[in-house]
Amino acid sequence: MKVRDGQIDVAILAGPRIKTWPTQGVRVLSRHCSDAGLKVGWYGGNGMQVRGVLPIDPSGGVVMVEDTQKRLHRIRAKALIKITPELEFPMPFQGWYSPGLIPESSARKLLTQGSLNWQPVVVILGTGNRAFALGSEILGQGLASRVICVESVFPDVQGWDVERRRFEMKGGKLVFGKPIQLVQKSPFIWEIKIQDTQGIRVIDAARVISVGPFEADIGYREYPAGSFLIEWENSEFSRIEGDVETVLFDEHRAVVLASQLIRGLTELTGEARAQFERHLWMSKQKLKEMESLPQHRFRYDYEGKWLSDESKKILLSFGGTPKRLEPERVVAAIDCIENIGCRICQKACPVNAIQIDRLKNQFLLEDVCTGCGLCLQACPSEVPVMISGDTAQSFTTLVFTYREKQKIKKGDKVGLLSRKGELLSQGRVIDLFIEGGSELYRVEVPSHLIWDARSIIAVGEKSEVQNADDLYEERGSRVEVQIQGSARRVREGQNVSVSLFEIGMARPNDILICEDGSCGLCQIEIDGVRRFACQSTQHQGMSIRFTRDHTPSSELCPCQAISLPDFESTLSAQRPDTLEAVTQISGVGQGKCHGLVCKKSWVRAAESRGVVSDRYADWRFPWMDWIFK
Amino acid sequence: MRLKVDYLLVGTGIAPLLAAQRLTQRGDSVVIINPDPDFFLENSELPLDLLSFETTNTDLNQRFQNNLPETVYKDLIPEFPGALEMSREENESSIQEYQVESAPWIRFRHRLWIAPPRSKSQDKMESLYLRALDLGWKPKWLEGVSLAKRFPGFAARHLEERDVEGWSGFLGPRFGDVDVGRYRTGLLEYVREKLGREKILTNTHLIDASLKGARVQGQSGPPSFIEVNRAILQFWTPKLERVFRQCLEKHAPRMVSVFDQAVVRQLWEEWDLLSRDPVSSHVVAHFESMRMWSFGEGPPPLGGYSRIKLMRRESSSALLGDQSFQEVFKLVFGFMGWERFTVRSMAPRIFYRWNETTPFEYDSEGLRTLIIQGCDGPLHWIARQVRKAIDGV
Repeated sequence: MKVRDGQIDVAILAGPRIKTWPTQGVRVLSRHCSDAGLKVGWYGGNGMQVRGVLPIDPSGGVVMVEDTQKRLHRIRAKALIKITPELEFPMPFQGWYSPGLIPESSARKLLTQGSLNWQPVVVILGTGNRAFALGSEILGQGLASRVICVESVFPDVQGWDVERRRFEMKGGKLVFGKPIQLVQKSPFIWEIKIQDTQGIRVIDAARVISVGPFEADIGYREYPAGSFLIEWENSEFSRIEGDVETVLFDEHRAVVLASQLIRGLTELTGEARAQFERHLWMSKQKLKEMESLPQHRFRYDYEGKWLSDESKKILLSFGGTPKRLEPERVVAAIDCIENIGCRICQKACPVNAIQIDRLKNQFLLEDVCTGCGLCLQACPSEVPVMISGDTAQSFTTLVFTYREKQKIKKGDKVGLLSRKGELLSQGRVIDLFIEGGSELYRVEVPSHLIWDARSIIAVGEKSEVQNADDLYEERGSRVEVQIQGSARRVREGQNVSVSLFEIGMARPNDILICEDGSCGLCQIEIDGVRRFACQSTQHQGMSIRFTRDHTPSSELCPCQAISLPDFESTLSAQRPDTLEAVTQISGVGQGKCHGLVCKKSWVRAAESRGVVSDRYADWRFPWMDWIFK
Repeated sequence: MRLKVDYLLVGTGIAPLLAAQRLTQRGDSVVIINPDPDFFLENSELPLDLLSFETTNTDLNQRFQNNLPETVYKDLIPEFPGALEMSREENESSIQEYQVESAPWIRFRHRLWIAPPRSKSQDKMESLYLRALDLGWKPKWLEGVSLAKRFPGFAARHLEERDVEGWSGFLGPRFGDVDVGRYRTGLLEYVREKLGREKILTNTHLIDASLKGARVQGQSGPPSFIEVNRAILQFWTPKLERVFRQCLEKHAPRMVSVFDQAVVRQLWEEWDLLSRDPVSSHVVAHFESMRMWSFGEGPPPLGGYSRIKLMRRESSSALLGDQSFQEVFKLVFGFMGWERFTVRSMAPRIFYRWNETTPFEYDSEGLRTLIIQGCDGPLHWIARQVRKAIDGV
């Protein structure tokens, strides 16, 4: 075994379960660091697998990396940044650890790879942008009749107004309350009970998806302080359209983190320094704005279905709303009033008609706008519409995007929806045209609705509703396999974890569906050999056995069977000062999954009981097996 | 509030807690200051003696005697405020009715020395076997499969593909190992109750001392003064070496060279492995520079644990180098017959080998100050050293 040595200034490591590598935040961080003359290395993805980290006192550490030829590299780095994907679970409640509750990453995998039944209802825990985006996606694809987002921690919705609006316009509902129980009623139906101010709501859901956020955004943390060992919770998206808010946070945090590394490891001088300081100042400002956004949320007021006079006044005076309407002229209307920091529409506009300066209430230069519609396609939240017409007439024209699966034809009647998703009236599609690859719908709308109608919905029979069987046929032929001794038909070549969910045999331990088998929970026996379900695929005649009993759990740390009351009583009795002491005393996070499932919950529970909030980073490296070849 | 005490204790691990317990038992008042945020971050304390023999002149008999479970119990019980439970034979039920499962446990584990065929380590092991035999410790010579099946984590699969027959070793006496975490937790809880939280100051550094007492600095706020009547006791662990050296340079520069010669540093790599099969919890294996045992707290489960602690002594400063992987892979894949393994964590640990255990004594501007040695290593050794030092103060 030959170990090759290397030395580097900044090593950026893909943590366990990272799917997309490098992320946008990683790119920005490494660009700034390398511009400052630091030697930066990314380790992750298919080329270089990170095997372990050895923190070195007083700072930095050694990274063990395996390359594609299975050679080991030992790289000494002055600073280590471990990228951790977000994995949000709620505080434990009865039956929470079960296949009925899955994290967002698994839900996305099941959406893209599986043919799972999502009807009739999907419950999403969390009201952040990611929760709304996932809910909108499920509704947009017609997979579930109803999606309910549940806010259980914060007094208000956490997502942006524009994302909430999109979710509600697609039929999503919001509930404020705490989940208290999850019980399986049939292989594909789970009963979730939510305690709210009115009482207990009981919802029969196909699945509960845990998206969060359940706490304020953490970003990155250095542990121990001054060690240049940094853990960074990072968005997995490499393009901003995937998750605008998190990618924006990542980009700005990357600059701030880069400044910390540059100050500690090198010295910038002259013009380079001045330029970097400018970037840093801007990023700090942006971060400040974004972090303070929850205190300055914008919400429309309604009188019944209609915008209140006050809200309408705000809307009409907003810089993104056109002030002059003419019958022959099409102009964009972008009522993105909340200061969200997104600039996607500005970048998409070919004539620079969108110049966002919120301090000056400047957004849209309506005289420059050509009504091309590119901003409608670019906006991930589907905010802009285009308006033409004269409000003095009975009808005006609005142009909408429509991204749902159910098709609308020219001449069809469509429902006009308010920003809350309420049906206001009906309009008629008078034209349908393709601009920049996507379809835009010109709809004749009663003039009094032009400031209220912001989306359309197909009316009449649903022509192309996608049911699970259709998807099944689409996605490959079926083969027969033996699962726990009984014959089952599953899709050939499908991931075993995904197929267990499809046939209703998933265990609590299958909920993570890791990219790399890093949690080690989903072990099964395939033809007598122990493997991980998430890393195996189905083939004709294979025999699958579950190696141990898996029952739903209500514990805080399911691997170690530590309940929340036990954990709390340990904390009150021992009164540990740091989170590291908490793990040692209580044993949480020391089980098979290395804390992947419970870490955030027990950290939250400990912090709420006064344990020092210097978060500790987990430098254990249980990421993947070492295999003897 | 201005504190007035007999002794000021400075340390990061379990030693100051033991000292506080002993001193308060005899009626002295104390304040503990810990530069760490808490007492769980000290990583130079061990549940068992790694039995790393430096020279052939080691008093093997004494060393073995010190590690007998009964001796470990006697070393640890005087300062511990509750029960210490002891596990017994392999085939006995792990917990008796009268025993407290959540208490710190002292487990009985045999030591097993093994060596591959035709290796240098075989000669060393044979010599150790003969010495143990001469001393009447009744070591049991084992070879091949009978040796292998006693090894913690040995997989019986594909035996024919491995040259297990050539391996030899011997099963040594049963020694004790203790739950460090539980012992620390219990002791800390009791000392905290007894002294009050205001007398256990974490994140606090000693700035300077004078005849009247010491000035200390907490994480925030201005420095505070503690009036010390008798002495400052500093508990020497690798983490605090630099701080204590600076104190000596300032107050007793002549002692610095003695201080430097008092210890030899040992660098160890700690690997935490996860086994797919249950691992016997009744043997601690010695293989060349490595020690390996199944890891868990409380009474050993009959089915065994699944976590394995592997400590490897590193002779150079190249942690996780070629040598590390060669040795670990040789053991895990070559001898134990695993096809794959999961590393839960890897961490460097520094321990001392003490050439001198008499406390260093000097005056900090008129205030008696002692640096107490032997505060790292096996827990029972720490307890004994601290007791000895406190009784001599």
